[in-house]
Amino acid sequence: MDRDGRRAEYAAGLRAEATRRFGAARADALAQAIEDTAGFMADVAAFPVDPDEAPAFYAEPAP
Amino acid sequence: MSPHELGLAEAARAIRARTLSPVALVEALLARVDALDARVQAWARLDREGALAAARASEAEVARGVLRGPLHGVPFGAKDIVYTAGLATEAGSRVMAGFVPQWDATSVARLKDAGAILLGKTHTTEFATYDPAPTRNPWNLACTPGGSSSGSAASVAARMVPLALGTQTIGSNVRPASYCGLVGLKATFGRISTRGVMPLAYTQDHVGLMARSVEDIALALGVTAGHDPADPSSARAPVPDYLAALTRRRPPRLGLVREYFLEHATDEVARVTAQAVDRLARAGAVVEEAKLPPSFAAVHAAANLIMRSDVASIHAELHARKADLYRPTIRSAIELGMLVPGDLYVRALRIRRQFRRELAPTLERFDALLTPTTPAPAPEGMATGDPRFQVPWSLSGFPSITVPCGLSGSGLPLGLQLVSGLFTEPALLAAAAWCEDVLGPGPAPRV
Repeated sequence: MDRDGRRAEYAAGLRAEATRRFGAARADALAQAIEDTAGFMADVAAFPVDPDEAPAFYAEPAP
Repeated sequence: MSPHELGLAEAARAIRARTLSPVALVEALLARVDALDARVQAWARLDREGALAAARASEAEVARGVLRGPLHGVPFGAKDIVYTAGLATEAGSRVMAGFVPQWDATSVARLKDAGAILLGKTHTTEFATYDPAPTRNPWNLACTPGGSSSGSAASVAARMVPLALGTQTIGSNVRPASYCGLVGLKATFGRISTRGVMPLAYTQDHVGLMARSVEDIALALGVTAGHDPADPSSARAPVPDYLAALTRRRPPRLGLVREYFLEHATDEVARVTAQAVDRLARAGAVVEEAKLPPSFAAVHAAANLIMRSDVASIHAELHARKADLYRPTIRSAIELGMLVPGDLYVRALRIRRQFRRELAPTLERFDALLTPTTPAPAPEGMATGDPRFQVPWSLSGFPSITVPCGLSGSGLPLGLQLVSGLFTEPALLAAAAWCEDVLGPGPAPRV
């Protein structure tokens, strides 16, 4: 799936979940934020992360 | 020179030399606030009595030959998400109205331990996100000072205080510093304790410093940096002598990042940046082009997803009780953060680490990377401007600093952003000081 397709899929999922959790009126108010977040999700999902890369939380080695 | 015009190091030296009274300095700064702040609106609240009492105590100590530390008697401001004992900390939000911490943030405590005097709390956007503060840019009151550290930038630029604490999670310290013609530092993640700073994103929150010279920043960093066992993100790396690093100035090797940064800058910003780079090169800097790694393509999305997820976790209980008290943008970020899948959150954290790893070899080739600090000068209106040029360094934790490099055609400040490797602040500050010498200090606004 290309980025636009993935973004649209994420946006639909976010909207459905926002409606379920916050109600339809609130989901409408979140429309732009849903679009923005869906775009971020699509970009993160599409990036080929190195399979050996662990997540970075707090502790990082000092020099 | 009036006391309010003195920078941090100048004021500290004058107090040590007994040519400046801490009481006279605090009184001069309060008079400056009284004269200007109805228009600039940099301060959420002042601690007049507390600051004057501390100044009197400082003055008495100077008379006895006692100096608490390198900032003895010099005032500072703190962004209103930074805890201050006995002084309200409301984060620009109705949600936190009336909240008075009983203890100081570590950064505030360290400044006080060094002899500095808290003048008051500076306005922030709500919880350091995007819903704007009332603050205006001292260079042009129609423009934003940037955010989220809006009042910190405006107060230092308007000569109401020589140093202010800001914070940066996305672009909130370096960007407003540049919009207001200041030097602003976001040190390496973990270098300055974030204990007592209302969190926004655990892996991206940094305490920032704003002042009017690189020397002032080096002085303040030396006081505020260092391990804090009460902060799980605090680094154990030893604290070098940042002021000593400034004495080793030499023409630096700079990596100019054209891709993305110059592509997203206005023609005017690109032109002013090119002129500044040319001046640096003619003065002896070695300037070569630096390339960004593939993971740069995902850093903005990763940073924004992490911030949303973290802010949702941080505000879950308050949101459940007080959702209607939040302003629109922070509320939307919290609610969307509740919906971000866990696998994508972890993937974003993996991108963060991959970007760090992939950029490190490039950073080792240079004393600093060089970019324009902002795509454009401070915009008119209330919106706080575009943080995209700070996002990669907030996500990765690499230190970055802005120094003034000129004015736009509309008379607004522009800056150069320098970025270096983790915990290489001595080299970064030395390079920034050298650039400052060549480009000249930032001028003062006519408020």
